[in-house]
Amino acid sequence: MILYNKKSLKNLSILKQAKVWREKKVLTESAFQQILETYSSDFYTPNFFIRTGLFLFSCILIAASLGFITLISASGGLLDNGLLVRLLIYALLTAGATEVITKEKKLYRAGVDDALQYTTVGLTIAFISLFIDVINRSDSDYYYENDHHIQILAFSLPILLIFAIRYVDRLLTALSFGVLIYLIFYLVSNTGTIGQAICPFVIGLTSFLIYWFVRSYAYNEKSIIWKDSFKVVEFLSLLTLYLSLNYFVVRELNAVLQNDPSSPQIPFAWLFYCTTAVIPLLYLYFGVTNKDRLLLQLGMFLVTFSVFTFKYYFSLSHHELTITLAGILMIVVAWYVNNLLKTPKLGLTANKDDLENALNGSDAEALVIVETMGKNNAQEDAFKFGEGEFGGGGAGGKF
Amino acid sequence: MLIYLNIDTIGHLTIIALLGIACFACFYYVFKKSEPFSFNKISSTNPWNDYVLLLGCLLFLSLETYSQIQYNLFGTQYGTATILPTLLFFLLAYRFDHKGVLSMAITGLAGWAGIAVTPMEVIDGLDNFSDHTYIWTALGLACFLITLVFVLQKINLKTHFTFTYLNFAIHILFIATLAGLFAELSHLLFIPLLLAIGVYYYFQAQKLASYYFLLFILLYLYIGITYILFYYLLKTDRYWDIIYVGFFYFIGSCALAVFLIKNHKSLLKI
Repeated sequence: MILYNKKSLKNLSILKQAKVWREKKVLTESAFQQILETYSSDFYTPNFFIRTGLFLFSCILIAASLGFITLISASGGLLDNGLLVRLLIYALLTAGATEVITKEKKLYRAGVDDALQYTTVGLTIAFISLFIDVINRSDSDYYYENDHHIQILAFSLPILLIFAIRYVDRLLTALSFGVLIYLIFYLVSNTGTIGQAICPFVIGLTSFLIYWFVRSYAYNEKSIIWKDSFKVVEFLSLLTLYLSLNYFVVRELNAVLQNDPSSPQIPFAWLFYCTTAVIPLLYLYFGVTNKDRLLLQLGMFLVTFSVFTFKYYFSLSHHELTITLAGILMIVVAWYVNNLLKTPKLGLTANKDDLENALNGSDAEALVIVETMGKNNAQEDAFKFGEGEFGGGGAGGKF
Repeated sequence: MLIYLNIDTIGHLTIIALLGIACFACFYYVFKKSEPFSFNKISSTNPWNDYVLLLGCLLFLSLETYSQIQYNLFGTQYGTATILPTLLFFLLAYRFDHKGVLSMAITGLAGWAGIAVTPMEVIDGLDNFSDHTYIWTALGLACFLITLVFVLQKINLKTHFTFTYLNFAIHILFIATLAGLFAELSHLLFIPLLLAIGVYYYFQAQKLASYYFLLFILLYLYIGITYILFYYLLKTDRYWDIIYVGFFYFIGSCALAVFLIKNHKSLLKI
């Protein structure tokens, strides 16, 4: 199913957590060494700058190689159906190269593999677009630009998804999510007035279902490898859930769909006022009660956006006053919260590391015990990955 | 904004006085609250100090700009106007061990030397460099910064600032040299210069174990070498051969670059 060695990937995440615990002095040095030996990960993952350099030069290398192949193999015109076959062959070539090189060199987020993966995806989607274009043009009675791009997106979505899963890539995950939401938006809003009316709710509901699904089923032992990708989906679905029900977004998009630049008042405005105001507060509330850092931060950010929304339509026309006041208010709040959280309360602290890598003491203990007893199947039960206990902010308040 | 809109009611002098008081209050606060001066890195206990210092510096800048615009305080002596905050920022950066203020000070110095340098503008602003005097000024400035680093390291004053200085110097140096190459001033001078900078920074990167410098050395050198190669190749007028050679060059050189970067550990000897 995936490109990388599953066991190594799992070990990598265990090692990451163990390093955090060692710094927090939960694990003793000897226990850490033992974990290091048991869960060895042989991936080559360099520093960020090295990765950037490798990525850039790999991109030029791939482009030059494909260009060279084109140069020596091209005869006659490039712009007939030959281009289609050519793109397919190139996509297959890069896909093959991705498989071989990544496995041979044991790369993981090393720049070279990123470059190869993105080229593969890009070429595949270019092939699909061209293919659809060729088919549509062959039937000359039927050709609409709009349908055209929606067909391309619809066919690209499964491709993006497959590659996102196979390459364990966050960017591809985000792209697939975006394409999915756009497709839903396009389909629903193009089904007449009823469609346009229910569009915000459909997208909001979809986002909520995706979020709920990810929260309830995604974080388990089996799918630990895709934890980062699920985090991205979680963030994006919360964002679209809010945006789809935000008054500003709904009203302005409605104006765009109606081709009416004056942006008239929308029906059920009061409903959207409510959702605009309530959703960020709900995020904040659940962020605090569930100790979820993502919800908390997003909630804070979205409160600002909600205030902006209301200011935009009910402006008191003292922008400079608002900005100054908002600035002062923010400084005061930051100062107050900072003072409040200097000592940990409710499992929240002002110390960033604690929040980022919250840990459950009993799990660490279990890990150490299993480790020192030297069982090999330790990874089956050493961690509790379910139900968001892991990562994020699943602190047990035990520090 | 708020101040600007109410300009009629409060008057300029009040504003200047207010700015001055706020600025003075900021500096007073950090002088009171922060740790005493030391030659080495200070680990700050109070997270607010840094921000208050930064606020003070920004207020000082607005104060100066305001008085310049309103009362023409410095007349046409823009040199004095820029060197004054620069010197102040240098002093403050060293007193309070603040890298942000140091960056502002170096930017001020560069501005004084006649170029607008912030890390962003260096990258976008190749246009500014087409005028030849700028190239020489930039080279001189960067050399000055490097000498400064050398001297400071000798007397062991705030050696952890080295990276900030060298970071400014590497971009200024390489971009000025590349601009010199593109402007075709003198290939005899600039090609060795490019290589010399590369070698110098290679040793610095080794010393600091810095991946960042290694990456930028390779990037800038690659741009420079590629430019030189194609400059001379294009003079031969054999275009079909050049295309083939070009592809081979790109494939080979990039493979080499990937190989070099991948072995960065042995390159940096760590």
